[in-house]
Amino acid sequence: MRPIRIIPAISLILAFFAALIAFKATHWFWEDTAMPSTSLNTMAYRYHFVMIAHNTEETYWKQVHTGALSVARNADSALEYFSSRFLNLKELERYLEMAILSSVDGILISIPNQPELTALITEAFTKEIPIVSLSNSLETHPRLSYVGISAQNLGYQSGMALKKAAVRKIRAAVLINSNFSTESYQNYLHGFHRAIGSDSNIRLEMVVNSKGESISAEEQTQQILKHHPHIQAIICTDPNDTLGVAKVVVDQNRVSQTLIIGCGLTEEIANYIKREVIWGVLAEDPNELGAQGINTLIRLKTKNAEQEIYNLPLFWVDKSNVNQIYSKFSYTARRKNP
Amino acid sequence: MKQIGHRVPVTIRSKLLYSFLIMIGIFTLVSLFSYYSEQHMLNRFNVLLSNNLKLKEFRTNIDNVVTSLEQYLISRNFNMLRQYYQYSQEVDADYPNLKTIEPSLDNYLLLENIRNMTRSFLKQTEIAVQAKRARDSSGYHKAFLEVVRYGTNINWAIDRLITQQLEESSRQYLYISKRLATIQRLGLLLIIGALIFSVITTLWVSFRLTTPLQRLAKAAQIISKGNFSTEPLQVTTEDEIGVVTRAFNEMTQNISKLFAEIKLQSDLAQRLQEQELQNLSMKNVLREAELQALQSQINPHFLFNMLNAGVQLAIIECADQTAEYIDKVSNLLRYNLRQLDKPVSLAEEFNHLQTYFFILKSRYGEERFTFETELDPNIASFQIPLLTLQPIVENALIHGIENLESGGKIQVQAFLEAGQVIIRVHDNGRGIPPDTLQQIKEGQSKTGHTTGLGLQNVKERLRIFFGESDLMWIDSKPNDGTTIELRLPTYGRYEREIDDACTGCR
Repeated sequence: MRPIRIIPAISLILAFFAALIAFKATHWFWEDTAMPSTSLNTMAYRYHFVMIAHNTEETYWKQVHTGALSVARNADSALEYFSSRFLNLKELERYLEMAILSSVDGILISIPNQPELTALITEAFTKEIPIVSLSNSLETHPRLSYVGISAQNLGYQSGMALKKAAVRKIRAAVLINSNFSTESYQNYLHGFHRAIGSDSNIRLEMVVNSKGESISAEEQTQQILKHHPHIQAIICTDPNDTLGVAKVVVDQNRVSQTLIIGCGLTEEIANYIKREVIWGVLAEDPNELGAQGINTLIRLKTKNAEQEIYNLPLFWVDKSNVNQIYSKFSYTARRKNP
Repeated sequence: MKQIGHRVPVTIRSKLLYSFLIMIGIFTLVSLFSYYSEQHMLNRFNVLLSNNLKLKEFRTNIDNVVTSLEQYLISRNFNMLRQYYQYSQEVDADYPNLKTIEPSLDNYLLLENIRNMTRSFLKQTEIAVQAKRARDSSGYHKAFLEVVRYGTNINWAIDRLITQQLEESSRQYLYISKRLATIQRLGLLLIIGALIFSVITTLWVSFRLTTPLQRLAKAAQIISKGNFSTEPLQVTTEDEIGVVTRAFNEMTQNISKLFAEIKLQSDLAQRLQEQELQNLSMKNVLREAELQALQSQINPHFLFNMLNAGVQLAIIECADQTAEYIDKVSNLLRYNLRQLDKPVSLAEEFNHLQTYFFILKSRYGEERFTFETELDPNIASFQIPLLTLQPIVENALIHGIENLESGGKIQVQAFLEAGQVIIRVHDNGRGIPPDTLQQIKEGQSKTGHTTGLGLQNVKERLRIFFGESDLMWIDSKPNDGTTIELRLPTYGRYEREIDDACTGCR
């Protein structure tokens, strides 16, 4: 190449690379990165659903939301998610009221059984807004659909697990979440008693209403173990209760003396199971809970059904399968939210 | 190598133009880049703030609708009703155009909630007004409670949206600040790069311009001192300097060529002058020879007539030997009187030598001398000046064998050797005394005996005839005879004859 050609050639190359660097370095600047890539698609939605949850456990509800969002996307539906970390009734009421006043297409709820909230649910039904409960805490309503675990099944499975563990005489205490509706409470105990039957090795010493909070459960467990040191098994109906009981048992160095049968699977609970602090838990797939919630709402909208009840399968998780089940739940979450 | 295609020459002006334009272009790009970066960021902030302000205004209008409606329901004041309509119309006009600058899914759905609630809110307000007009107190009370409920929820939703957007704006502010810092660093890098490029380009261009000029100036200095043997300058550019360099090279070559031609012409002129001088010299020699010949001629025809009469008389008297002798003498004289400037063949010269030897034998007797001639027939026609050999033989006789009582011998040989005709005259006489030999070699022996032509004369005529000197070689040793050798070239005007004659010799 002639020398004179070198100057324009080098200049062009430099200009090209400068432009390339400038573009590479600033392309994020010129485009609106605040806009999620999926937002435009979701704006053209068929249904607008709202999910309102009392967020008792961060990871668990994140997975529930992931499952629900995945199905909603596939059904060209938008899902709005409101959650309250602590039990703030006013906040939950605000979310529910706004959803009803906005005339959304459907609402997924996991809220405590409080009169203010149930009144709003009734208002929603008057406005033909379908509501699906994701927990067993609400009183039965002729039009309230339900997706979740059956309280009776939970009680029965818990009793069967205790029966299996009780090779000798054992005295047990049950912590039932106070958010359970009266019907769910009774169903749970009915199932439990049906499982243990007339097994003379098992004696249900006490039934305690818990608040579904870890700190509260710790306090209650301390009281139980202090005043009833002969209690050798504690059965829980809530993941926070399970964690609270496990912490106290570890703190009081009673791991080998106290059998814990929990409910729900989180990373922390999985670790306790691996360390044999918790003997085992009964858990449903949180992704499946969210997914079936949305599916139920869509069915209610499309088939004009009044009510649907969908009981999720319960998985028994102990040291032998904790990794497998936990990976399965986590994998499902990843797959649905790539 | 010949270049294929036409190359558009890039002039110095183009080079400078390109360089400056590129530099200006780069700086302009950097400036524009910085300008648009800042402008974009400012616009973004403006949109953020103005959108939040609009939402706030909308919220205020919702409150105003509720307030004016309440006032109207309480007082049934027409002004309040007018205010209510004014605000409700504003709300009605505004709510479809509400926007979120961060259209994330959550924000967008929240905005949809606000729109839906506003729609229901306006319906409820209208129901309340209608109930008031119908004096349905329970109806407008109930409707107003719904209006308040909707208003509260709309305000809450707007507050939540503004908060979310502010949170997002704050997050983006930090994000954009970082981006801006990055862009500023990038701009700085670009400026530094552009500066470096400018400096390099300037140096490069000046170097490219001045180096060929310096080489040209140096070459011009060398040539101005008369040295045209310098190597042609290398043409590295296609600009004006390249053109000048190429022209300079051609000029140098042309001057050098002209000098060579002038020198050649000068040499030719010198050779011509020498040739003229040689011709003049030859004419002088010829004139001298002719003069001498005239002096020795009394009346050749009379002499030859007398000698012929002598021959006839001898024949009548039956004196055959005398007749032959007189005939030979007559032939000798006739040969001697031929024109000196006309060349003869070697055969003629050798015949003449035979005649001469006959006369000498007649004079000195058969026993005293022997003569031998040997001529290569291939060179018999070789042309040499008249009377070349006789003076040499005469010299051999006088200085060599004349004083010998017997056994004198003269050998004359002519043959071809290495492209030259060699004529060798050898005698076995006493040899030429060194002083005499020296005189002969120095050209001081000028006169002959019979012909009046000395060796020097022969030597000179040979030089003129063949155009070369040193054609005669003399080798003589006391009491060991003398050898005179002529080495005559065969090129020039006699070459073809020699070639023809010597076919098969080479």
